[in-house]
Amino acid sequence: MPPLAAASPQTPIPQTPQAEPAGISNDGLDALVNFARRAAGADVLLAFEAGDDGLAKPLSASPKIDFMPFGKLAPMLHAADWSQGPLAAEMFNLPSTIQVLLDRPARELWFLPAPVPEARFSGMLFIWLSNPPPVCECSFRLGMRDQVGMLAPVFSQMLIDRGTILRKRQAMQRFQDLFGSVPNGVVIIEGHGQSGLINAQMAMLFAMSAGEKTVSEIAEAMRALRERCINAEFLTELYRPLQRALDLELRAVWDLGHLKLEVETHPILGNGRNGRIWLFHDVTAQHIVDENLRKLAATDALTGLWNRRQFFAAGEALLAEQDASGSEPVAALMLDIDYFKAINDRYGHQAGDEVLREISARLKSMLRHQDQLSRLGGEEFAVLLSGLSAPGVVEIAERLRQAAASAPVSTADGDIEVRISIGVTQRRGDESLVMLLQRADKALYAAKAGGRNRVICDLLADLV
Amino acid sequence: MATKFDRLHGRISGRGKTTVVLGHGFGCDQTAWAGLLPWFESRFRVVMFDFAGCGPDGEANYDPLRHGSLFGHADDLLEILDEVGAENCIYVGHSVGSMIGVAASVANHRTISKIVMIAGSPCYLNHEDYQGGFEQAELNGLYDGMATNFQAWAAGFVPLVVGVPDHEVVDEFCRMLFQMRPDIALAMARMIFQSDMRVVLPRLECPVHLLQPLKDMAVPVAVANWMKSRIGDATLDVIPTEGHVPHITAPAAIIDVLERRLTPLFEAA
Repeated sequence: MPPLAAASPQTPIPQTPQAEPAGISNDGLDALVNFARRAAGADVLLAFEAGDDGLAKPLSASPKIDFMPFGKLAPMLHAADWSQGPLAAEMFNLPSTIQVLLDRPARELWFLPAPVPEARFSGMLFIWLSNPPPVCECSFRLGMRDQVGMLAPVFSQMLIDRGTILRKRQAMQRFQDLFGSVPNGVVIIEGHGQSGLINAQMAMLFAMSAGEKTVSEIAEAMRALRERCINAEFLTELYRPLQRALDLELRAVWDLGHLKLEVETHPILGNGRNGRIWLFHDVTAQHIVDENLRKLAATDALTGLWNRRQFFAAGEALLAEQDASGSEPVAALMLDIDYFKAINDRYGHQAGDEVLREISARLKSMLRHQDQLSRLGGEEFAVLLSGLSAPGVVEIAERLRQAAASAPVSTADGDIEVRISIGVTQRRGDESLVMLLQRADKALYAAKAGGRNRVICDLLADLV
Repeated sequence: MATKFDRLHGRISGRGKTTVVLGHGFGCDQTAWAGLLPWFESRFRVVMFDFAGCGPDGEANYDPLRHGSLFGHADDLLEILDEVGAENCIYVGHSVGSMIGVAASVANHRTISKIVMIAGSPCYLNHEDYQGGFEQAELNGLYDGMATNFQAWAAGFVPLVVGVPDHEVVDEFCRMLFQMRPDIALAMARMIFQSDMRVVLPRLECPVHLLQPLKDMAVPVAVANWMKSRIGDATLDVIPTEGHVPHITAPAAIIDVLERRLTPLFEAA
């Protein structure tokens, strides 16, 4: 930074962190400082801001010169008594940045304190140089000079306003940073309902640019997005009351199929008159995780079949469905691999696991999609069949038995012959699932006791 | 509260009526004067210190706003001169240290009676009618290098500054440089290289002795000639040395000149 702005070439790079944020107009301050210097008849007037650390930061100068921040002097100026008018410059050590600016030594100083919160050592420093040219000491001029002190409150107020603007701008900047960088889509509808703001994330969802928009632009984009949702009808109904109830808070998932957005909306500061905020949170990944967790909780890890818990949950639902529709009674099949313990003992657990997987696959291939084949544990399986008459049920049971025995299961430890036994029952009246399965279990026991590799039925009517 | 002199690691030594104040250059601290110190101490009262941001724990004294210009350092110097009662002292400055002395002297004519500038420059940038030695693009590259990897930058920069293949001096310079916090070093380098004291220099009222190395990557001899022509009372000795730090690499050559230029002063005193 050149010491005399007008006298030396400009350097393109600022050397100091700029005390003055770009964009704040200094015109008012410059005008005030110019006027005050002329009114006081001073040669130079420097206006600066200084806080507790005493470091004076340049605000404005008349004539227009660039002075650099300086320490020490501001608190000393504040401590001095200026009520009797200017003091000799020798009483103070003027900082070198000021001295170098002056083309003659300073003769007198006068200081107008303008303490403001957060910058209590601020003020305006009037400087008279030595060997002054003669000036007209008319009463008008003297009268003007005596009134210069009245400018202090104006200067203070300017500093406060400036501080307020700076803080507002900083707050706004911080808000912008946050608004732009949060991973959520954000829409802010201003309280007056005319315009709104959308951030970058939201702009991507809306396929428009971020920033300030009219409310109708935003409403149109939001409606378009909502109408693409699988649950569009539900959402339309959900948001209908918003048109009347300003203070409503709502949360819903907008299901766009490939994309699921959890959308929360609430009035700003709890009052609809302040405006409304919409937060769009991408929960697609969460949904996939949830879905996977649900599957994991419902299935048997080894075979991929339903597990015991899911079997009972789905079984109860199936019975209720049968009760409601009055269709054919639900049939229950209990299946068990014969001599499974011996297979494990002879071929090892790994081979045993392979047998379980292969038999599961064979059984499943013989069943319809809606038949609820499950692994209840160990080598024990169960199936619930619906909508089938007794002969149909028996036929399926027999097919399952044959499928299991159709060919040896080849494992890394050798080919293994597998047989299964099956107990079959049909539901009696409004019999519970537990009762139904108990009877199927009894039939299975009978199949085992009868020599295994067979189907034993406990049906409503004897088959001929 | 500790005095500025204490906080800037001030030290007084030597015997003599006249006070010599030594102001080191960029990347150095007061230990840079070791080669000249015996000569000074046997003739003068010697005042040394570290500029803000330099020396051990230099960051404690550094304020990015206050020290964003040479004048912040000049104010520190004026405070020290006041504290140690050094009226009419001889100020010996190296590089930026000499220009800080110029600023202080212009601000307060009473304190400094003579300035010795070793490899000083009022402006490092080339201008239409002035050859400072650097283009802005070169300086921007230097700042970028410092900001990107301070250590790597120093490994290339220091040998250039030292200018002679003297490993001990290079190591010593690196030791002083690495005491600085890299961000402060960058801010200070930027402040120095972008500074323009050309309009201030002619306002010096005290005599100036200029010592300019024959070959110096930071300051061309043309700059020394320019200064001699602009300062009212200036003498120039171009010394037959290479590098920007002749007081470290060739103290004898400096002493040679000092004997000639300063001896009449302290003998008269």
